[in-house]
Amino acid sequence: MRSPTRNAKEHHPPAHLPVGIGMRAAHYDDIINAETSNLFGWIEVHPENYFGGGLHKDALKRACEKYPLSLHATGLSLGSDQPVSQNHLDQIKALIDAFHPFHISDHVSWSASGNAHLNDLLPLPYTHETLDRLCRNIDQTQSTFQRPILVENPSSYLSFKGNDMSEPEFLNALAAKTGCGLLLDINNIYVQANNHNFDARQYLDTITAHHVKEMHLAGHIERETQSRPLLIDTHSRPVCDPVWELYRAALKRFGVTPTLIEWDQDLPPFTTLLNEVARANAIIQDIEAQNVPA
Amino acid sequence: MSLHNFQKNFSALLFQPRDTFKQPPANITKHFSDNGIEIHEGLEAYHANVLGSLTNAILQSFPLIASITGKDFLRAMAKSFIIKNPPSTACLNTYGDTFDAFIAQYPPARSLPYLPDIARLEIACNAAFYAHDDQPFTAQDMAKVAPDQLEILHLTLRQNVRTITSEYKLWDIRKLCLGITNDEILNFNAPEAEHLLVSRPHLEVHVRPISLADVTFLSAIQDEETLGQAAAKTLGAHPNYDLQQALANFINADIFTVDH
Repeated sequence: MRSPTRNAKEHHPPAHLPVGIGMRAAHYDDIINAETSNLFGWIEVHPENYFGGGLHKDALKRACEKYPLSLHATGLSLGSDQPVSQNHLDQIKALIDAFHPFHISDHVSWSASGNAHLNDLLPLPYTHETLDRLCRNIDQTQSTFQRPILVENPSSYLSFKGNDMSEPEFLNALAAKTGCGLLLDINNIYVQANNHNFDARQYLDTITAHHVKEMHLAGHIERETQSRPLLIDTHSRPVCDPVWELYRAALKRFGVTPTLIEWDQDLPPFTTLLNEVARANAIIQDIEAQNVPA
Repeated sequence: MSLHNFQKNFSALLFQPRDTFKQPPANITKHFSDNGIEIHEGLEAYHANVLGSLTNAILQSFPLIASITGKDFLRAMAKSFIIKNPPSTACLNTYGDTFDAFIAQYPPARSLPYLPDIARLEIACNAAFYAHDDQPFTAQDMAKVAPDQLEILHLTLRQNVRTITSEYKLWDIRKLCLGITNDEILNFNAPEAEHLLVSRPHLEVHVRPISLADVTFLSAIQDEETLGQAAAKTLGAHPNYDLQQALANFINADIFTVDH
């Protein structure tokens, strides 16, 4: 296990602006050419979109002059029963060295089998075999990056038989064994609780608090099935009211934590994202006010 | 459970036609419990996500093809391509770089024989757009080269540079796709080779027609020949080629670099 070492070049979110925005190409102008925001304090990008040069890399350089950066990978496929692509890791490492992100994360899922990459976050059974494989892949990742990563709880649409542990127990074990941190996606917890019939608050209570380093908020859609709606994590809608309530509960339990507003499909005008940021800020301020001793 | 076998079977299933999911195979269903939502419904959700996101990646990379065929035709063609050619890396920036060969063999596209040419152009533009940044060899750099060193000067093409030799009148077809011309009387089905240069001097991709002699010259440069060798080869094949002017134009277009 490695103890986190903080690089002097890492640029962290200011304490008074813990909410960040996922920077997507449609909003480059809004982020890069506008005044520095007093609503959001950092940006997030998917490193896979910045492996080449040109327009996207140029936008990232300019955005990083204004905002701290979190790199949220989607392509490491940490849960595949094969080692992580070293080439993929090396390309992310080059971005880390160039842009000094304060966090680097990926998901508790898999997307590659053999040479086929499915570009989706596919589900894993929570068994000891899966835990061992994920730990090896997280170790490989952390040793390439020379620092701890964060792993995110997934959304999934199938329920496995024969799990050895619950999802939050599995996440705790991953963090304890590898030294990685946890990125809690609050929408995903809500989606999972619906799709797999469990209690979201109990999930929060099971997570070991000191592992939680970042949170995500996003929207989902409902897919009709013969029995009840299956919730699909699309990042294409505003955050729904029950997820805001769950976020409030998460802040109470884990304290104020850097939180990302994620929107990846059917991108709205930038002002819609800012409204979501403002809503998160209002809840954070509420929680902070409650914590001030009378 | 073997995680390895599960992942192999699951990923193979997701690339099957949608009808397969109505009665999914036992080597998949045995891993899941029916949790109120039937197993095939969960599988369909993953199938839709995987095919949908990869189809969108193809749609984004081939807008000129969409302007000719319409999005629905391109979407159907992309799905057939994806099922046979899943991405081999997690980075999708250049996914679809064999789409031209697939289109050439795709029966519903047979009446549009110039479609693979357009695909080749879009593949080159996409590669140029995402190419790594490298430093152009400029007119100022050229001015510093001693006259007796010109012969042995070793230039290379920048990573964002591609040349394309098409079978059909690609330059005109491209203009039609972009709405620059609506010259419908052009007979696009008659083969007529054209040569195009694709490059990205800074952030935007540029496309322009070049001559066969230009292609000979740039290919020689690409093959790591010295400026003297490339000039001799080009002038041997095309005695009237204005090499000095061509070289100046290419340098001004920022298409060369030097290996360090």
